[in-house]
Amino acid sequence: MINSDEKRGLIFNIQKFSIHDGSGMRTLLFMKGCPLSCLWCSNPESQSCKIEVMDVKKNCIKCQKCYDICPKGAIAKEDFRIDRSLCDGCGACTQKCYAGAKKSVGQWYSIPEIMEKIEKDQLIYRNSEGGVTVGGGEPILQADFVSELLKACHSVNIHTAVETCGCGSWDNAKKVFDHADAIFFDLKHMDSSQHKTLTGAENRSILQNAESLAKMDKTIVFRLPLIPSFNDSKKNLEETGAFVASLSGSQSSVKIEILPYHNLGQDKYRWLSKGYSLESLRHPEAEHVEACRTILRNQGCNVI
Amino acid sequence: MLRISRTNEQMGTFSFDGENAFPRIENLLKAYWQSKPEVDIERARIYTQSYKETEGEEVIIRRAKAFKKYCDERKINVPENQLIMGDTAVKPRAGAVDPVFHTGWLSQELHTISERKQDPYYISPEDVRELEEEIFPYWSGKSVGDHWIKQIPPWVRELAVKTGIIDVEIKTQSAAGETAPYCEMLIQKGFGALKEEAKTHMEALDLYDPEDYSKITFYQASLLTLEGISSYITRHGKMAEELAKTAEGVRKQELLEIAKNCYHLAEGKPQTFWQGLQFVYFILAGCMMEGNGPSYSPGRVDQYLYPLYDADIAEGKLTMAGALELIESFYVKAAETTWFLSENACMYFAGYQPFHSIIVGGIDRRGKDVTNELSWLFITAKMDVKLHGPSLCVRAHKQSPEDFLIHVAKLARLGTGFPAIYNDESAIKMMLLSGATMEEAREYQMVGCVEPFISGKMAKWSDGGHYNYGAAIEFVLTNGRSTINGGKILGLQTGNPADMTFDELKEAVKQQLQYMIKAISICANVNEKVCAELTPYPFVSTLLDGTYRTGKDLTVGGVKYTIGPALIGTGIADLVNSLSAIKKHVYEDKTITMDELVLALEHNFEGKEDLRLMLQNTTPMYGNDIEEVDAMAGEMTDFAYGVISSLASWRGPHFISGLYPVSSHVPHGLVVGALPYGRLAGKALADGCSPNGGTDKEGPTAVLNSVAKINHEVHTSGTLLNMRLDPSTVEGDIGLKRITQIIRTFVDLNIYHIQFNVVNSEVLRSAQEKPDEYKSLIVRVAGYSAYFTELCREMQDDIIQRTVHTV
Repeated sequence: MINSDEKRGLIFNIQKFSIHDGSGMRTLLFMKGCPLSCLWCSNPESQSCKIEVMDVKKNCIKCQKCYDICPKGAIAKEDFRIDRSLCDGCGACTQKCYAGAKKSVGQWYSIPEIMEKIEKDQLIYRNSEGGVTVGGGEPILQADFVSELLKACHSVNIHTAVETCGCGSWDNAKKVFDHADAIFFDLKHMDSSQHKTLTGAENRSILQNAESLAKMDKTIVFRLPLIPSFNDSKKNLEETGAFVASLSGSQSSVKIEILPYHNLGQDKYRWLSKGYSLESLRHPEAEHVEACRTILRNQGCNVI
Repeated sequence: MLRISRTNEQMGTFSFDGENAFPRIENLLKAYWQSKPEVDIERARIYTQSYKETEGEEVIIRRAKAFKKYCDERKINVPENQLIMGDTAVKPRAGAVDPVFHTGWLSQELHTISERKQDPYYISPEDVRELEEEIFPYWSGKSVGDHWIKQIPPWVRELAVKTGIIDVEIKTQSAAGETAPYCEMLIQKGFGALKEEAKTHMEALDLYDPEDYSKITFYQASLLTLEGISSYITRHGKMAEELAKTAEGVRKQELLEIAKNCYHLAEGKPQTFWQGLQFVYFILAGCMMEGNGPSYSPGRVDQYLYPLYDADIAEGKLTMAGALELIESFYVKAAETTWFLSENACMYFAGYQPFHSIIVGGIDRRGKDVTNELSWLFITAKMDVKLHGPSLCVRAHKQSPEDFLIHVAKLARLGTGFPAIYNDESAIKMMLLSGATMEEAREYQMVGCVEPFISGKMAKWSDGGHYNYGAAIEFVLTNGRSTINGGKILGLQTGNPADMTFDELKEAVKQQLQYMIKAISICANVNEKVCAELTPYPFVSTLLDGTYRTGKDLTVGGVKYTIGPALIGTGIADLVNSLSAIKKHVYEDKTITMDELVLALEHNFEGKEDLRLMLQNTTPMYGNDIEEVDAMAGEMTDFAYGVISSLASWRGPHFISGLYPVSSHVPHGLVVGALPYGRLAGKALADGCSPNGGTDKEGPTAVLNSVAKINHEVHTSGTLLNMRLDPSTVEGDIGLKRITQIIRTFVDLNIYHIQFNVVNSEVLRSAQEKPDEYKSLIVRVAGYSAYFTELCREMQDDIIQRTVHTV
C-alpha cells in the first residue's frame, strides 16, 4: 500500500518491454543525475541532475515558436540554437515545439505516479519472470526515492533490479540494494587514477561498496564496459577478474558480463551541445571481446 | 509436453522444425510458382447450358442440376506428383466464373482484368468473346447484383455503391461462402450414407402437404448434388487408373492408390488418413464448385482426422513422415484455390486469398487440452510449405502445453504471418453468446479471417458489409460532406461541430455510425433475400447439421444455428485518436478552435504543417495504454455492437458485430479526408483493433493493454490484432520464449486474436524494388497472409509503415 506521495524522483525515460536488463520482460526506469561522466557514456542526458533541453536539429521545421516563447532569450533567431549559458531548462520551448526538435529531458514523478505506470505490465512480468529495473543515471544519487520505489514494487510482488556505477556512500547504496533482487554493478577500471581520468571520479568508494554488496545475499552481475584502448589492457582485465573472483567466493550468483563499447549515443551529445571525445573509436571486434572474456574466466570468474 | 510413443519405423525421417524438403513437395511447389492466375470460363459455360435447359423449374433444382452437370462434364486433372485430387478451377490459381454473381462487374471489367493493379487475372481473347457473345447476354438482368441494385432504396444506393464509405457489394458480386462443413459428422458417414438419409427423409414426407412438398424439393436437390460429387470423384479415379497403365515404379502404385481412394470415397467414408485428407479436399472443391465464395473452412483437422492417422500408424500403413508429406500435398492443393473478385472488391480482400481456414490445438468438449501429434505436424507442414493458403490457426488457452506454444513460436518467427492465434476462452464465450451449448462452443473453429464458428452447425455471413469509423468522425466535422467524394453529402447532417460540447460531438459520431450501420443492414437484408431467391446452396447445405432435420436450404434458415450477417468496423483507432485530439486541443487546452481545425482538415493541412505536427505529436493516442483514450475505443465499439445486434436480419435473428478489416482499411482510408490527429487524407486506416502505425510508442505490452479495453467477446464475428515484431527481438531460444510469453499474456488479457508479422522493413522495401526475387515472400495483411509482391503499392506501403516493436 502506498500512502505517501511526498518523495519525488527525477526520471528521464521509462522504457517498457525491455529485454536486456534483467530477466524476462521489464520496465526500465532511467534516473536522471550521475556522479560520473564517463567518456563513452551512451546516455549523456542522464548526467546532469537538472531538467535539460535537447535540441534535435534535424526535426526543426523553422516555425520560430521556440524563439518567440523563450523567457530567457536563450534561442538564436538565425538557427534556433540554444545558448546553454542562458537556458535554465524551463522547457517552455519544448511545449511549443511540435516537430520534436526541442525536447525536455527529465520529469519529476511521485511514487504513486510511477507505480501506476509500472503496474500496467504486471501480467507480462508474471508471464516472463520479468519486473522493474532502475538504472540511469545513477539510482544511488536518488537513494531515498529509489528505495521507496523498490519497496513499493516488492509490496505488489514485482521483481526488482538496479543498474549502478556503485559510486556513493555505503549508507545510500545500501538503501537501494536492500530492496533490489538483482544488482548490475559497473567496474570501469581497477586503477583509481585511470578511473578518474575516464569517469571523473576515483574508484575507492566503488570498490568498497562492491565488497560490501558481495556480503549481501543478492543476484549480482558485475559489468565491464569494454572500451578499446582505455580499459581493455590485459592488466586491467586480470585485476578486474581477480577482484570479482575474490568477491564471488562460493557464490555462483556473482557473475561478470562484458558490455562492448558502442557509439549509439553520439548524436545526443550534439543535441545537448556537448563534445564527444571518442568520435574515432570503433567498437571492439568479436574475437577481442571473447579473448577478454577468457582472461576473466582464467581469473576464476563466472562470465556471462 | 508431447510424448511420442512411436517406434523409429513408425516415425520415419522428418524434422518437426521444418526444412524437410520432400522431393515431391519441392516439385509441386516449383509447378505452383509457374502457375499464373487466369480466368476460367468452363464453369460459366456449363452452368449457362444447364440453366437454359432447366428454365421454369424450381430454382433449387436448377442449381442442383447445374452443379451436377458441372461435376459430370468439367475437365479433370490428375497432376504429376500430387497425392490429393480435385480442383476448384481448370488450372491452379484460376478464378472460375460464376455468371449469376459475376456477370455484372465482369462484363464491365473483362478488358482490364488482366492489367488491374490488385489481383489481375489473365484472360484469352477467345474467352472474352465467348463470355461477351454467348454467356453474358443470357444472364443480363438475371444476376444477383441486378436484382439487388434495383431493390435497395436510392439513398442507400448513393452511400453504398463505389463511394468506399461503406462496402456492401461483396455478396452481390460473389457467392457467400463462410462455411464450416460438418467434417466430424461427414467423415463418419461418407456421401453414400447421406444419399440414403435423403431418400429416407423424402419417403417420410407427404407429397400432398405444401410444406412437405418444398422439403421434398430440397432433398431432391441435395440428392442431385450428392450424385454430382460422387460422379466427380469417380471420374478422378478413372483418370488415375488410366494414367497408371502407362506410369512406372512408385508413381504407378500411387496412381492406383489414388484411384482406389477415389472409387471408395465416391460413396464410402474415409478409412485411412490419406482418404481423410482427400475427402476433406473433395468437400472443399465441391463447395467452391457450387458457388465459388470465400472461407470454406475444414476446421479442426487435427481432431477429426486423428483416429484415422493413429490407426494407420499403428497398423504400419503410414509413417509420421508420410503423414507430413500428405498434409503438405494438401496444403499445396489448398493454395491453388482462389476467390474471384471485382476490381473494387479486390482492394477489400487483396491477395488471391480464398480464406480456407484450418485450426489446431485447444480444448475439447469437456474442457481438456487435446493438442496431439497431428496438431504439431500441421504446424510443421506450414514451415515447409510457405504458401498463403490454407490459413493455419492455433487455439491457445491457459493450459496450452509450453512445448506446443514454442512450436507455434517457431512457425510465427518465420515471418509468414502464420499461425493466427485465438484465445479459447474468448472464442468460446462468443459461441455461447451465439446460442451454442457449452460442448458445441468448446468445439469452435475458425472460418475465413478471424470468424469463430460452431463447427458444422452454423450459417452466417461473417461479412455482410464494412462500415468506416474514420468516415464517422469526418462526417461529424463536415456536417455530412465527404471531402474526397467531391463534397457530396454522404453522411448524416449532424450540425455545426463548433456548436457542440465534447459529449455532443461524441453523440454525433454515434449517430453517424448508426446511420452507416443501418444503411448496410438494408443492403444486407435485401442481399440475403435475393440470394435465397436466386442462389440456394443444396450441396453446401447437405454438409451442415440441421438441414436434413428441417428439410430446408441454408439460405432459408435450415441450419441448426443461423445468425448474422456480421457488420464489420474498420479504423476504430482513427476515430479514437481523432476524438482524443479534439478533446485535448479544442476543448481542454484550447490550442485551436473547432473552426480552425475543420478548415485545416478540409485543406488537408496544406500550409499548416506545424498544426499537423502538433496534433500528431501531442495527442494522447490509442495503443499506449492510456486509460481515458482507450476507454473511448471501448465506448464506441460497444455502441456499434449495441446498434448492430439490435437490428433484425432477414434470415434472423439479428446482425452481429466484427472488428477485423480483411484489407478494407486501405480502400476505406482512400476515401476519408484528413483527420484531427494529424492523418493526411487518403492514408490507410488502422486495421482491426490495432493502433495506427507509428502512434503506438510504448511497445507491445502497452498495445496489448490498450486492445484489451475493447469488449472483445461481444463482437462475435471476431476482432483482430496485428503485431509487428522486429526479427532481432525473436532470435534464439529466448526469442521463442518471448513469443510464448506474449501469447500467454494475450490469453490472460482476454484478447481474442493475435498474429505476428516478423519481417524487417528493408526486406519489404527491397521486395518492392525487385518483385521477381521475392515472389514467395509472404506477409500478414489482416486476418490472412498474402504474397507481398502480389499486393498493390498502397497495401505494401501500409504493411511497411506499421509500427515495428523492437528493443
